Order: sequence, then structure tokens, then C-alpha cells
Amino acid sequence: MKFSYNWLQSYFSKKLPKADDLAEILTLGAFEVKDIEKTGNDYILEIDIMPNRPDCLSYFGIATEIQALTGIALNITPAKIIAKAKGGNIKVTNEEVKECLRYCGREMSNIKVAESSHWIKASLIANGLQPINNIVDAANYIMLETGQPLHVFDADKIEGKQIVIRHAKKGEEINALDENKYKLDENILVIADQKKPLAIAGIKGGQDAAISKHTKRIFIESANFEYKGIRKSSRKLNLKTDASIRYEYGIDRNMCLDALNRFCSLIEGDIAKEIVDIYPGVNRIKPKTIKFNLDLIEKIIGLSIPLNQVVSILKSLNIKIVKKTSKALELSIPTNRPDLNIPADIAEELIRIYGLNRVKSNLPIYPLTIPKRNEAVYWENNIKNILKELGFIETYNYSFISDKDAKGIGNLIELENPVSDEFKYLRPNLIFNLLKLVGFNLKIKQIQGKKVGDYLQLFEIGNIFKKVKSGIEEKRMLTGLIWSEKEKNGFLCAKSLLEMLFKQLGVSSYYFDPDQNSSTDVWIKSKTAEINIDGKTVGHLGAISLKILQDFESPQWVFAFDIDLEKLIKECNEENEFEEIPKFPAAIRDISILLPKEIRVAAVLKLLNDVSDNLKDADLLDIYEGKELPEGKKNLTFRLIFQAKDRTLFGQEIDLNMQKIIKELEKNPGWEVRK
Amino acid sequence: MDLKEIGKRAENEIKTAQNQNDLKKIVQKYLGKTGEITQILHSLKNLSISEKKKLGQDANILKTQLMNLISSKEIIFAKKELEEIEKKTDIDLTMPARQASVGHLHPITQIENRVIEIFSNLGFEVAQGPEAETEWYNFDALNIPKDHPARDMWDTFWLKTDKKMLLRTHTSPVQVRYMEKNLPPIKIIAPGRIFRYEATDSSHEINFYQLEGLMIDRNITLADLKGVIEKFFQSLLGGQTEIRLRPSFFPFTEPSVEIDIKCMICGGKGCSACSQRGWLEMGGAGMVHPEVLKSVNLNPKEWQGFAFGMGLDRLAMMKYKVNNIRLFYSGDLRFLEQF
Repeated sequence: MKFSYNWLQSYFSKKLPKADDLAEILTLGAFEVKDIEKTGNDYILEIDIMPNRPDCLSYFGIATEIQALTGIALNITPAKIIAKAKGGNIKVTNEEVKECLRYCGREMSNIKVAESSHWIKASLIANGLQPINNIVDAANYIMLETGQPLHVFDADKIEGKQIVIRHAKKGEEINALDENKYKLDENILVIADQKKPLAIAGIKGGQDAAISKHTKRIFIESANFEYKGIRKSSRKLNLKTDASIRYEYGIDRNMCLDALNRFCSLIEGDIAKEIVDIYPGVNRIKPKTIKFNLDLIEKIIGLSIPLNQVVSILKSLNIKIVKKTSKALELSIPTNRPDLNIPADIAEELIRIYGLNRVKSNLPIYPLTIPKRNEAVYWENNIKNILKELGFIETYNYSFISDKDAKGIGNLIELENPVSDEFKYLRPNLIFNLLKLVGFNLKIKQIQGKKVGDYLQLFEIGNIFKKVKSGIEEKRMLTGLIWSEKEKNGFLCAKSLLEMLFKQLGVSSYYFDPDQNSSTDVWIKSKTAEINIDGKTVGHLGAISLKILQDFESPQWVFAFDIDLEKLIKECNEENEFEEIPKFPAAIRDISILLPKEIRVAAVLKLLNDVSDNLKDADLLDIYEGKELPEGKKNLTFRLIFQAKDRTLFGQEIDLNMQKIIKELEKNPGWEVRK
Repeated sequence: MDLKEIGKRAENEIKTAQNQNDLKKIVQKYLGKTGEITQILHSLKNLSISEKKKLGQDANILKTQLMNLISSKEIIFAKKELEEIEKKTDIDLTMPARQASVGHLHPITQIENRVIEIFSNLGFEVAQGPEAETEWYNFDALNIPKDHPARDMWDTFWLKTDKKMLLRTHTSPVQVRYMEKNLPPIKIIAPGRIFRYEATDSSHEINFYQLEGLMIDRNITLADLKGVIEKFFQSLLGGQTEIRLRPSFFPFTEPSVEIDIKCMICGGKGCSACSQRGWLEMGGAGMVHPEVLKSVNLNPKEWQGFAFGMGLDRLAMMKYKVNNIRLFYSGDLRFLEQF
């Protein structure tokens, strides 16, 4: 809210600190002053009023804060009115006492509608309000000053001389003062006459009973409405006004009359003796009492404030000390402070006025304990570091995907209020947003005339979302993409990097199962393996479908691993045990096998491992699929390393072993060991 | 033949030798099978015993002397030869370096790691919670009233689900979740992704990162909060970093404060980096509201403590002088490869 420095000054007899200094004092002791603007000989302070302080949506409220923070006494002149005229013409009925908590009204006659005084006009302009006429301007002025919204009706236009506070009827409409027509419904509270709504309660007045230059008699409303109802109606109508904001904050019900009188004292005319004041007992609020133990300050703030300071701070905030002992105070809280309910609230008031900068840093003393390690965070961080060292670039992408990306994907979580179609659903995987980066970054490099690297390795760790019966399934995933110019290399590259990651994480019993059925349309099924660790599926490794790549404007042949992070972390292992360095020499034999193309390397390796004695290692040296070979055949060359832990192996022993291996291999139809 | 004369000649030749090859020739000439000194040694047999003894001794001394001279010369030549290879091999030092293949960690990961390290050293555990939250954990349990403008402090993304769900607008729900399962004393931090429904610009994003902190014990005070936060910032940004507290409002803390750090660029005088304020707003904090403790069945008369929340993006922006928050989520390698 904007505050005029000169206007604030008018409530003090003594000079206030300069505008800049006052702003600093308020920022450090009450609310942040976001901006100071010089206009003419005045300064406008933009003060950020927190939603727990309805009292400060007014000059009186901020002036009280200034009084407390500077020690300069407030000097507000109470309204003096002489009410002689006869009133009682307008009858008010409140049908909704749960929503209209209090309704005050008063008539004035002999009104002359004219321009406002220069001071009033200038004051309104300073606060960003447009002066209209002396009546409306005075109502606005009082609202700014006290925080109490007022509404003034042309008393002669109230049909049947009756005001009814009721819910709108189905189909009712109102032509509001902002020249818009609003459709009302049964949940919206209105101020009506016998026939029609005259105002949307607490939000906006209507044109039907508006002040015009012919107005002679007025009816001034000073009411209080329940905040929830106002908030709902304001949202439904998409209409936020100075009045509605104040009601939503929950302003004081006890200021209705005072504000009304201040209004009456501000304009010329005859004030009616009769006052309407519907304030049902159930709605009445009285000052709260808080028992405040003085040691609480020390207990929660960690510093003590001298008692005389405590007393003067409370007094400057209009908090009354009802009872005082050496240990505790009994306080009476003014009704315009709904934020003060518990002793801690009082401690906050005391420390912010006394000065938060007086709180000295202290390091708490506590028993020396080693914090429990968060395994998920620990391993996630390890994984990130390993991937970084393997050449991956970590990316953070949006948790959302677009309407377009979502086509054909099931079980998505849709946002009720997306900022745009670009961010309409929660991401069902990390792959989509990562894929966008491939094409995007290659394009940038091309545009810049830079040599496009021959490969790209990206990864992200983040949460994905899926709709399930019980609500939302949220999973943390690790997804890596590898694009390589040399198409097929991508897979082997991805596999070797992943194996390196697993090795570093102490994951040993993993295998890549090509005969899988669990991959989705995102993958090329025949070129995707399931990643199994200890018999559990943790994710996939394979080639992304060319159609998906096309959709995401990515070049062809992107390989990816997509892993359920929680499952992977369960398999990570820090334990490691030293294995004796071999004491006896190894013997090396190479073996070449001609076999049908469709036989997988893993199958041959398994056989070799099963039938060999003392086989330390079997490495694939070469795959050959040249034209010279018989149709449908390929040639695999393995290097076999034999080594025993307890002795040197004899050549003869190994030769016998080789013969056995060859025999076993050649048992398979179409397999031939080349000698 | 005169040994002295031979010696002088040989020494001279060794001195003027140009390379290994010259040395080889000298060795052959004097010490080889038919070398001059070898021949003298061979001729000894024809001499008398005394002559034999004298000449033999002299010849052997000369032989050793020459060999020493030659080998020291050899060392020099061998070194020269290597230097020659070094010289001949051409490396253009101004050529662009070959690209090394280490990857990059996202700047927010790096900040987060540092933050976790600092707080771990202070004895804080790391806690986590889901990004899709219930209204209860995000608002109600944190004493944020329904249908009140206080809720507008957090612009919320709502999800189309049967049970009303939302994307957490802060990491504070982790406080509640943790306190439900763990008894005090509690010292945790909870870094994580949060979401706000708002228009994006260079300092606002729809998803970003927050660091939550919570410390609950019997006598934890606001002064302790200031001490811990100050230690943290001094650890992260340097020992001179100054912080200040000013009043604020959060429904889940009482008293509530805003944490500012003195602008490191202007030292508090005011500059463009701090919008002329001299101080930068780093986050909110306060003493945990008794209602929050009650919502997790802790007795506020027995337990008390502080909580704080700050933006990790903001910290990263400050530390690395990044001027646009959206770069963090752009996936632009020209940005990521700088970290």
C-alpha cells in the first residue's frame, strides 16, 4: 500500500525522521518499504503490508507503528460531530448475520455534491485514487485513514426506504460503479433495497443508488463482512477492490462507528441523530487477554529487554497492561490486532520494536553427534560425480511437459492451473525434456559455426509422476542420453559407461536382458535391454524410437538409460574386499568360433565360463561378419586367460582344457571352432 | 714412444671431439685392439722388470684417465642428443587444447552439495519429501489458514487428481513430515525442488530450489538462529559476510524474520546488484510456531526451535554471478559447460 509522507506527518506534532530514514526504520522494525518516490514536496512510500496486519492497511495503523518505532507520540484529533437532524428514514434488515458481522449506517441531508478540497484530492491522488466528488472522496479518504471501507448511497434512490443485507437471487445482476455488469449468484452477499441489489457487499457499489450531482440526502454504510465470504465472492467475480482487500485481511469490527463519524465530520450537511448499528452479540469481539511471562523473551529470543522498555513498547502499540507482577504481565490486546494471540506474538512485537539488530548471534551448544547419513542423498551425489567423471553433463529440466508432448501418453497428471500449454502436465519421464536438449544444443553449435562434437552425453536426476489408483505415483529417476555421430557406437558406449557406473557403485550382479517385454513405445523394442540387478528390473538401456526422436527434433540414434533411482540405490554397496594378487603366471589362448549370426555373445561367454577349468577371464577380441564367410555366419574371437591360485598351470593341462572347450562348443549345431 | 706425448694428443682429441662417433674413433685409436696405448702395453714384455713396472704403471694410469675423460664427454653428448630430439620435435603451444572428456555438474547441484557439507559439519541431517503434496502438509499443518490472503503468499499449482493435491510451494512440508516420524532433538536441512504459479522473468521461475532448515530442542532461541545462519553464510561466501534480521510474517513461525546479507559488491553502500539497498534478501526464518509443533504432537511448552528457508537458485546466482534464473533450466550447454 502507498503512504504519503506528508499525510503521515499530519498525525504527529513533532517532526518525523526524513523520508529515507523513516523508510529504513519501518523496514527494520515493521514492514519492508519497497520504494520511495518523490512527488512535489511529498514522498510516497510503498509499504509491503503483511497479510496478518489488517490494521496497517491504513494511515492510523502505520502511524501507530511509527509511534512505536520512533517514540514520537501520535496526535490524532478525534472526530467531533454535531448531530441534530432527524433521521430514521431508512430501515435496515440484516438477513445474514454470519456474513455481515456488523452494519452501521447514518443519514445526512442538505448535501451539496461538489469538488473536494485540494488537500483531499491531493491525498487521494498520492494513493493512486481518482478524485470524483466530495462525498465519494471523503469515503475513500476515511478508508485510507482508518482502514474502514465506507459506502455512500443516494438515500432518495433506495427504493422502499429499506436496506436488506441478503444473498443475491439467482439471475440477479448489478451495474457496478466500474461500469461493468456483474452476474450474481446465491453465494454472493449484496446490499439491496426492496427491489434490487444496490451494492456487492464489501466489494463494489452499484450505479442505481450512486451519488450524482443532484444528490441531496445520503445514507452512509460502515459495515464489517466476514473475510472468507468476501474472498470467495471477489474471486468468483474476479473483482478485487480496496474494500475487498481490507475485508479479506480481517479488519476490526469495532471501528465502524468511529470511521462513520469521521466521515460525517469531513463533509458539510446535516447529520441525523439516529444511527443504525446492527451488531449481534455473537459477532461482538472484545479485547483479548494474554498472560505474558517476562522470561519468555529471554527464552525464545535469547536476549532480555529491560522491563521499562517492555512497558513503553507495549504502551506505544496501544496494548494495555492490565496486571503486572515481577514475573508476568496480563495484557489487553486492542481488537484491531487479530495477529496477537499467544505469548510468542507479544515477544515478536517486543523484539521488532526493541530492535532485531540487538539480537546477538549465538551458536547453540549440543551433544557431539554424527548426523545420520541420508543414504539416498549420499548415493545420488556419488552417482552424479561418477557420471560427471565419465563425461556426462548434468541438466535440470522443467517438471512439466507440453500439451503436444503429451499426445498418446496415458496416466498423466494434469495441472488444474497451468501457466501455459507448454507446461500442462507433470513429466511422466525425464527422457522427453532431455531429448529436446539434443537437437537444441546441436543446432546452437551449428549456428555458431562451431564444430559439432562427435558425441553428446547428458543426464538428469529428477522426479516423475504417474496417475495411479491411489493418487499420484512419484518416482525419482536417473536418465542419461548418449548421442554419437557414429550411430551404432552409441549403444556400446552407453553400456560401457553404465557398467563403469555400476562398478563404481559396487553393483556387481547386474545383467542386461535383451528378451524383455517391459519397455514402452519410447524405445525401439528390439534394441532395448532391461537392466537387471540381483534379479530385479531397475530400468532400461537401449535406443530411443526414431519416431520419438523425430517428434522431439532430435537427430537419429540416441541411446539412453532410464533407471529407477531408489531401486538402484538399494543395490549400491560400499563394501569391498581385497583379493590376493595372483602369484602364478597366466596362460593365454585365443579361440575363433564360426557360428550362426543370431547367436548372442552372452550365450557363448556363458558356455565358455561353464565348461572351462581355471578360466580367469574371457574377452571378446573381434566380431567379423565379412562376405567371405558362409551365408548367415559370423566369426567371434575370444581371448581366454587361464590362471590358478595355487600353482603354475602346465601347458599340457591347458591344451586338454582347450580340447574340452572346443568339443563343448562344437556340440552346438552350426558352430565351428577354427583351428 | 713417449707416453706423455700420446697422452697429450689423446686428451686434445677428446676435447675437440664433436660427437659420439668421434669418441668411438678415439677409443679405437688409443685403447682399441691395435690402439697406441694397447700396443705400448703389449710391448712391455720386451723390457726389463724395472722398466716394465714403471712404464706399465704409467700406461695404465693414462688409460684410466683417458677412459674417464671419454665417459664424461659421452654423458654430455648423450644429453645433447636428447636435447636435439626435444628441439626437433615441433609442438605449437598456441594450438587449441584437445577437449578433455570430463563432464559437468549443474551449478545448483554444486551449491546444494556445498550447503549440505556445511550443515553436515554443524551436525544437521538431510531430509527429503515428495514434490506432489497434500494441502495438509503444504498449508494446514503449517498453520496457514484456509481462505485467507496469507495463502496468496504462495501461488500454487493445483493438480487434477481425485484427492486434492498440489505441487509443494516450499520445502516446509518436509519439516512436518520429519517431525511426525522423529522425536527431538532435531537438526535437519531439506533441499528440494519447489513450484510457484507465477509469470517467469529473470528472477522468477515456475520451478526452483529451496533449502529448508529446522532445529528443535529445549532451549533453541532466535539468537541461535542468527548464529547458525551467520556461520553458514560465512562458510559459504567468506568469513566477512554480515547478516541482519528484519521483521516478517510467516504463519508457521513466531517471531518471523527475513534474513538479509550485506551486499558483497558494494559493501552495503548500495549498488545495482542490490538495487541500491546495500542488503540482499536471502530467505525467511523464525521460531517454529507452537501450532506447528502441536500439529505433529509435540508439546510447545517442552520443545522449541527455529526454521528457515532460502532459495538455492538465488544463492547460486549470487555465487556464480548468474543474471537470469531461467538459464538453470534451459539445458543450454553454453551455460552448463561453464560449471
